[in-house]
Amino acid sequence: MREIGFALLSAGLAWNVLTDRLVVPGAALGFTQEHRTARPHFAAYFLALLPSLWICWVIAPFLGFLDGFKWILFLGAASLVIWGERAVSLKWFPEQGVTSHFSLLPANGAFFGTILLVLSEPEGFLSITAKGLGATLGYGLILYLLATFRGRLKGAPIPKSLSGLPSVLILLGLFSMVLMGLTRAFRLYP
Amino acid sequence: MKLTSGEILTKGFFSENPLIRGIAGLCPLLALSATLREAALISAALVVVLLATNLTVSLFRAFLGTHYRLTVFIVVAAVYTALAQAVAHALWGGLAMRLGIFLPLLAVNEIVLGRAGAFARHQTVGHSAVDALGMGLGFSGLMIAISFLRELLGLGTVWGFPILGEKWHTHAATGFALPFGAFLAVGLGLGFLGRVRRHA
Repeated sequence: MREIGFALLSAGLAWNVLTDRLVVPGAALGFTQEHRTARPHFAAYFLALLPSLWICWVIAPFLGFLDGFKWILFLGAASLVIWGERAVSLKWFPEQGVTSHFSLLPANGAFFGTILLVLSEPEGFLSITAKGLGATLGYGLILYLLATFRGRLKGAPIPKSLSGLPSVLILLGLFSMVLMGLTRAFRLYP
Repeated sequence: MKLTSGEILTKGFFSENPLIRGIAGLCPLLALSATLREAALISAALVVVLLATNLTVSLFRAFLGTHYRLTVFIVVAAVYTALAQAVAHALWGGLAMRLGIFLPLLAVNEIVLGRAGAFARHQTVGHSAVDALGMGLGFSGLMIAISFLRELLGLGTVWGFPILGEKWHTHAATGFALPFGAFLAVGLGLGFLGRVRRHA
């Protein structure tokens, strides 16, 4: 139980896919201009990540012959899960705005990167689930913080050169610094 | 608007550089700019994958439907990424291992998919190749510049050779080698380039 909690927290905070592993997809920056667009993006991400991770975990032991190229089939499996969930959302929840976010998810580096990071070493089902869930929630935490801070920065007197993307990157740098300090102080870093 | 080959090539360097202009393809720039060697290898791999993907998409553009276009681009890019990965591991094994997940992530890189979708899908093979070269070299230039600065300030070395001496490691600027240093360096660098672009 203790290891599971540790895996969850360290995946979310210590090796956060955005601030520590630096897999920053354009979607994480483009959709965090306000909460209204960040929310459906995270919903699609959250709904698709764990099923994709489980399927990749199931097929991984059979892919020994592929050696370093397992990721190709992981990419395929994750895309299939995303297609399936997109079809479901298109049929039953068309007005929620999640469907278009599902369509863009296969090109999201953080999504695919999380799967590769979690499955980089063979582990049990509970362990990878905890890591995957922690990494997803950590991604959501950074999205939430970014959307909140960017909302408040609107109309702030930022130098013109730094407004827009540079200010968001500096903001992410500050989050990264804070998370790095806190997780090392509480010994969450593996 | 019709552009000549020269204009297509040069616009990728600066005026429409994918990194300065938009928010595409930041992931290798942030993650692998800590040392010059890694930056050089990933830049080379990106240029190769971008060029090959653009050529293939342009060559078969008549057969591309509107549905599941993104998936087709990802499959094409994944094939070339796997080839690039195999070559990189065969020639520079140790260095390629250090790139970790970022070599496979080229298959979903936004510059590759973005140029395939926005440019190569509509254009002739020659123009697509020129566009890929321009964009790839624009990316590489920025990547090399930022990784040079980060390695020099963060580790005190250039291409692995010590420049600033042992004492440098007690200096506060070593934060440039850490994750937050990547964000600060890239953020400030893009701010500077944006300013230059506006005044140019």
